[in-house]
Amino acid sequence: MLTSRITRIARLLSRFYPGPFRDRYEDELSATITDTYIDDLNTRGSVTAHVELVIQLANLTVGGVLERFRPANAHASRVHSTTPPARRKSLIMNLAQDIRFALRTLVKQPGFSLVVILTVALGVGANTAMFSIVNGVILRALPYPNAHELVVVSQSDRFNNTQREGSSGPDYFDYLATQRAFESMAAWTGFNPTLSDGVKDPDRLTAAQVTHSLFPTLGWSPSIGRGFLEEEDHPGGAMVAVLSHGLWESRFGGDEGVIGRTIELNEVTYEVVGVMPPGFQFLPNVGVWVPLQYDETTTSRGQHNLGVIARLSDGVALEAGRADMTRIMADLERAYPNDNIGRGATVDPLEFTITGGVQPALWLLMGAVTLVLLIACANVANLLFTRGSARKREIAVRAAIGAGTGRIVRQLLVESLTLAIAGGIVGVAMGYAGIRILLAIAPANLPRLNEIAISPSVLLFAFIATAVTGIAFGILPALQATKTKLTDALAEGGRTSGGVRTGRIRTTLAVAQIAIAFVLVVGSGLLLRSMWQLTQVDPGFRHENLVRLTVGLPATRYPSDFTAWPDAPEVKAFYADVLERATRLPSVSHAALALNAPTNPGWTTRIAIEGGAMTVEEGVEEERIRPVSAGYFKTVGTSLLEGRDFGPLDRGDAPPVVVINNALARKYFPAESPLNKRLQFWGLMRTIIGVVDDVRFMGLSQLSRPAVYAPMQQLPFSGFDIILRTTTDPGPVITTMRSEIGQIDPALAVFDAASFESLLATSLAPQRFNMVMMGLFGALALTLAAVGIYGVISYGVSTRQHEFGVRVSLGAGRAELQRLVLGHGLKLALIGIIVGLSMAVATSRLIAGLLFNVGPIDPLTLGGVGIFLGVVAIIACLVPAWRASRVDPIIALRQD
Amino acid sequence: MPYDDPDTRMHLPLTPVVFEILIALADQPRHGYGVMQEVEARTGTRLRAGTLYRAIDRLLTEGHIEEVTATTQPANRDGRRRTYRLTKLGRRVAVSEAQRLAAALHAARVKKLLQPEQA
Repeated sequence: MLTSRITRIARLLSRFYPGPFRDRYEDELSATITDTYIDDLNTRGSVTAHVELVIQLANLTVGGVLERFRPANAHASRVHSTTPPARRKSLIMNLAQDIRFALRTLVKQPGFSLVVILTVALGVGANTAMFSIVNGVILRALPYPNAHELVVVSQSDRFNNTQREGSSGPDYFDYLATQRAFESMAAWTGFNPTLSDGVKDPDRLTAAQVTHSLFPTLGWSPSIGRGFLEEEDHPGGAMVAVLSHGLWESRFGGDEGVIGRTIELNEVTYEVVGVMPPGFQFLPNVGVWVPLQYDETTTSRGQHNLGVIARLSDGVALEAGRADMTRIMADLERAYPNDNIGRGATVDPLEFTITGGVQPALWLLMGAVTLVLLIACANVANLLFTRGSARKREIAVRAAIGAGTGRIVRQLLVESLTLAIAGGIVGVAMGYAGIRILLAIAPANLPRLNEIAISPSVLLFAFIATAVTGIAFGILPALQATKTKLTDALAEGGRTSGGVRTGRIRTTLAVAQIAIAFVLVVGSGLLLRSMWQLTQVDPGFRHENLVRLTVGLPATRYPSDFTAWPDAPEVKAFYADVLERATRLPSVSHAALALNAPTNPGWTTRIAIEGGAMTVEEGVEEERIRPVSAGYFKTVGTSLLEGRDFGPLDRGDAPPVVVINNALARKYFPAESPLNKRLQFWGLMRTIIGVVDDVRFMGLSQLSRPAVYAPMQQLPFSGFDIILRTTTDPGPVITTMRSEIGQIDPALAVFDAASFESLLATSLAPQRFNMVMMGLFGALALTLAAVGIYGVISYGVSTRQHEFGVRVSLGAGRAELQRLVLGHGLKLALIGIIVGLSMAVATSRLIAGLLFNVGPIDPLTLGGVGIFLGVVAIIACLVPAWRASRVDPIIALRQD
Repeated sequence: MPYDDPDTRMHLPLTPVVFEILIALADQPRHGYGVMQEVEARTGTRLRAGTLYRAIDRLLTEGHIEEVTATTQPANRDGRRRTYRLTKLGRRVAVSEAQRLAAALHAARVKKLLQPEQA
């Protein structure tokens, strides 16, 4: 079996050989390699045999390439084999000859070749790296069978103007009962349990409760064991769990005997029944799946905590799926006006849900990097023009001894393609390195990060980019070279002069380079400005020396009896203990608890203002509820604008109170003080005792939403953040705090410990990534364009020696010549900048969505970049200008 | 002296690979894999298949070796192989190359590059 595979590979590789050679020796080659392998295996052992096999195959490949360069008439195989059509043969022979000639020519001018290869390599490398991201994240189908059929079903709320909220359990079961467009549907909700298995330390992980239909809907099944059964998916069903491949390996050492073992999630015992295959991922980082076991008696129709995914039936279009869900939601709104008023459906392709958010930025960057390649092409084309002028005589002589135009063009194109391929190979290597850099700087929340790699399609892309590049930069110079009249070229005695036409093309190319570079530098300038603006935003709290640790108290030992709520003595005892221990730490100045840290958007619930137009039952307004402990505002550094903070007296049995943020005050109490007014949610009227400043908990780039803070004593939750203000470096404090929590309850896992400094930095990672990438491409474009304008001006100077000589002899000063050259360069730059300006304005729409507090047509950026490019152009022209001013009239005029 | 054989001089010097193949075929016809085994057994150096068959193609072109026709061919394992033997020209070329090398070896001894017992 293995030998037949080796034979197949050998046959495949023998395609590197010219056809006749292959026809004659293919069988013998593969037989010899197979026999060697078998003999080696018997006499020398497996390792040597395989090493030798690799050497044999490499030798076979290299031999094939070399054989193609062998003088064409020297093949025995040709005599023996059936002769291919004569025309084709001569074409291949000529091509081989062309390539040999091209290689010789290029080796003879190593400096020129190196510059071209490097330029192409930079362009192709940057494109390869960027394309591998676009390919891995956007283009490749999601890793589910028939992934295009998968859709995410969310609910919209036309009163609060939201498009994508979760579904409630009762709604989900109504979808199932009445839908007509979907083959199957599944629901999930995430949670972060503490995992303990009695073997290793308790650990916090991401888990999901899913309906039994989730794996079949996605088209995956466990690689070991089984998925969930329908009977396990009801309240009181068996407590079973399916592990992710990653968790199975890290926690259970990849032991297949894990099936049947038990694990504890939040101190509830589950039996492991399956392990998913390695490539399976649905929600990021989920380690354990358990059945949803949805209980209709405890979940209300108003609680939208389920994600829903569905697979469209065969032949049902997305639009039909949308129509079906819209119909269902309209029925539900009529049937349950209280809970479902205003609620509609949003159906997105799964692909959109996963990668929709990053697509605009990635496409923009892909566009930018393509422009870089264009500039690189223009640069190389200019270099080839220069060389083409110098080779006029050679080409004229070749034409004189009978080479046809087609033959010469082809020769020149083969040369440029050879250069491009060399550049492409170096470029792919650079791209490979580039991907590692990109992956290192890519934001961790970039979806499908683990699917980014150099794949066959990336290589194909690189190959096409290379070939197109080679033709793009080679075709104009090649055609130009053949336009020369034989007699002119020979009569000129080989003096290198470009001719008016060539000069114009070269000038146009230089102007185009400047224009494109302008667009890219403006793009990076805008992203830089917008990043700067983001870092200048006041988040509404002081993030320096502020850390958070998250804990979740298991319901087994910290029960939250919802009938007795807000009485939860165990939970509140833990609150008190942890706060007391935290404030005792020497390097902690303030400590507080919060359901949601100031960087976390939290969730909304329906509220009503006392005396307002509607009661909670009729109302449709949803706002954010943020339970916090007393001392929270002081700890995070959010200023109290009016009234008072929560105090120790605001206990569970005290009158319910809330503090609102400025945004909520402005929305509901535009003309009066909200103090002592009352608002209602979760069944109780609560008195407003204070107003605090807005915090950008939705993200730095988003304004704060209206929010209600309530004391955790009155709204206790068992999962929460501990927030500490430190007086020293926060790192050691986290460690100390962990051990303090361990002393209260050693079975608790503390997770998500982080400083707010790093949390804010992470939240800006996507913007930083865009900025760095665009900056890199802009810098690359600028460098190439500077080299381009230098090349054109410098070449212009070298062909105008004669003219400068005349000028000097007629009395022109050195400064005057310098001004002449610099002026020419600046003129090109100006035209380029003006063209670039209009291009930048025309494409501003594309980048607008990525900007923050900066308009896409920002005069400061446009003007600054314009001046910057002008200066760069002048610098690029300094050397040629200096050379022009050194012209010796005697030498310059001697040529006549 | 065959070294001055005008028919063979244009073929010299031979590349080491080509010379080794000719030596391998000097005593009997062999197929490609047989040549490979013989050379490896004798010199400890392995010719790889790609190198071997490119050299064989050249030797056929130059007329130094020829294919043994089917009727005289020894039984072969799978019918995929051809067997090669030296031509008269090939034998003369090999002899010339050996003499050329012998002369070089002699010169090396005379110039004390090699002690006699070393070679």
